[in-house]
Amino acid sequence: MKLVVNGKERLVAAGPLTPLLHVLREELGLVGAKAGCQHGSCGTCTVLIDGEPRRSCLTPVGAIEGASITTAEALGDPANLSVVQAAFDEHYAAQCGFCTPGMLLAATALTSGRARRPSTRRSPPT
Amino acid sequence: MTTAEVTVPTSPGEAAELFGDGVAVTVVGGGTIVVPLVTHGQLHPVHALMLHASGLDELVDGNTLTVGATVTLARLAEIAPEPLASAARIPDIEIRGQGTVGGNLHTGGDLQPALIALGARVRSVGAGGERIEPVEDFLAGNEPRLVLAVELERPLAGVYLEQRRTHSRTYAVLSVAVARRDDGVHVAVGGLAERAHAVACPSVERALAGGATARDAAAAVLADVAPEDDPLASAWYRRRVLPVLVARALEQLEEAR
Repeated sequence: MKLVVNGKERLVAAGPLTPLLHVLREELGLVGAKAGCQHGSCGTCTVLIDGEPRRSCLTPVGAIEGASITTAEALGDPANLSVVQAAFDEHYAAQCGFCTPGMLLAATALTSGRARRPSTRRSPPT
Repeated sequence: MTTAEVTVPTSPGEAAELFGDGVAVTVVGGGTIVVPLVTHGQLHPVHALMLHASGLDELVDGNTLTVGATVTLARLAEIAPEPLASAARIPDIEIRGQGTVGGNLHTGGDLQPALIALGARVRSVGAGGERIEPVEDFLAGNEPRLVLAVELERPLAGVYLEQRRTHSRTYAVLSVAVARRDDGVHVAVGGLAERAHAVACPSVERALAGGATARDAAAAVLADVAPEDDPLASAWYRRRVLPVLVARALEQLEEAR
């Protein structure tokens, strides 16, 4: 099957139930998305699928044939940081760095207007 | 790595046919439940039925709101009435964009109390063919069924409240959905135990119909539930907090009049 990863068409041999995360890291050698909890909680595997932030660890690759994937590798490079990367750098937001790729992609989606601002649920005060 | 035989139906009819009686079939909707189970070796699908191209994502907003099984929680939150819209806003935005209504009818899903309070019906196929039944009956069933759609009518007013652990991506510790419908106020609660289904609260509903105040009616909730200890909260905690949450929801429902 085909995917468009960071603007380049790539052929993928993995089975349809393989998480996109494993395809990116193990088949395509893109290790920007990290394998953290691998059950959708931590967010370090977040990538953009057709512009929408998604957990690559939860996404069976067979469900997104032909989709356009954006990983941290495509955001910018040290000489030419993206706006979100530059803001993270300026405010020392990387911290230990493990979750940072997911935060960068989620923040990129949020600021691009593709993802809505997180809506709050009605909860009692805590 | 899985050796499952994977099928990808391209119509609801084909999905129903491939599901058959559902024995040994693993249904993959958004993937948020199945994929991590496979990754962590807790599920070894034999036949996997992937629904992303099945056309089960229709949303029809008429007198009856019909929500296809693979409609995502993000889409549902945009169109659903309360208490369902708030219930659909689970953390995080990535999960809402991927998790589906059908999957949420799986164990413990956060939509369940809202669907019960709204009197929703579930249309499904499986052994014996297609049927439509109240969501509570569907949840109580234990044979494999493929959800096709959920149907409901908009209530006069609704409120959803929950107790969630900060930064927790698990199901809610406790959740309460109340809806005022033509025939009175309906109440349902979820999060009573790990993987437990939500339940209706007929004792609270009867107390309200009898003219009890929100606080007095809410106290009756303990007759309708059997909270348990689980890793999220103790049964003691749930018994203490649940009547408070129900009372707040009912009070907010009065204001929503």
